[in-house]
Amino acid sequence: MGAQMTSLTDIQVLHPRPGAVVVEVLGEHDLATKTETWELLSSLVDANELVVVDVTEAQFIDSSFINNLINADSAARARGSQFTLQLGTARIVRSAFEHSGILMVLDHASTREEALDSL
Amino acid sequence: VRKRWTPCKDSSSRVSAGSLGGQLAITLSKFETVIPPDPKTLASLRRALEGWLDQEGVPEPARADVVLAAHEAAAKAIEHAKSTEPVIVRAQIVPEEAVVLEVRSPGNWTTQALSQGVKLLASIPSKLEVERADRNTALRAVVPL
Repeated sequence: MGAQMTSLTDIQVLHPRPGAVVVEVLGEHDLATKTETWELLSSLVDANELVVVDVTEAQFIDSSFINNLINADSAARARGSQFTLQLGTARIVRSAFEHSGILMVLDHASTREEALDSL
Repeated sequence: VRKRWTPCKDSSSRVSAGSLGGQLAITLSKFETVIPPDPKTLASLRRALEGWLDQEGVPEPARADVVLAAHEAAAKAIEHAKSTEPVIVRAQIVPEEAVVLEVRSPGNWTTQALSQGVKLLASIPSKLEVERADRNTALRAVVPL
């Protein structure tokens, strides 16, 4: 499994198999990193059949991050690929997802194995 | 109980809110911080508010909801007000009832009705009010404990 650091702090990109990529989101992600996060997700969706965004270790996400997820999911659907969210347990991250209603729209998984099997 | 904000910077305090029928004194705890209109300051807002809520013993999920609501409102003010004026964030605990949150900034920054931030913000509190006066917008949210 290859790993690549991005210009974004607290995000690591892993390549578990050809055509599949896992974006491990750590730390806090908000309006301050909205543009960089979108550029990363957009480029990964363009180049892969499966993109998993793992927020298991994220400490905070806001509506700008959620908006990026929705746009990345739309882009993946448009090119016929799969976008899956791997859910975390931090209370405030769970609250943001629950309040936003995004879990009714995005495919999501509770484990890495389940997320990688979603293609 | 009359609630009144007092201007201060990055502070929290306890004030006596008087008595009800001479029998019961209620203490209201208050938080206020002023942040520059820069997205990079949002993390420090979250940490300051989280620290105060922790100190006041506000339980989950209210604590997470208050921080999320304050962040969303302040982020919206920063993103859409297009102002160089600071954003003022105030919070006050009504014991055993709620945390009352107010985010105030110049400009009209609450008109993006369909944005993800507004949807998220609107889903958190039990009551959400917007007041516009003197070219300022103040958003007030009541998050139940």
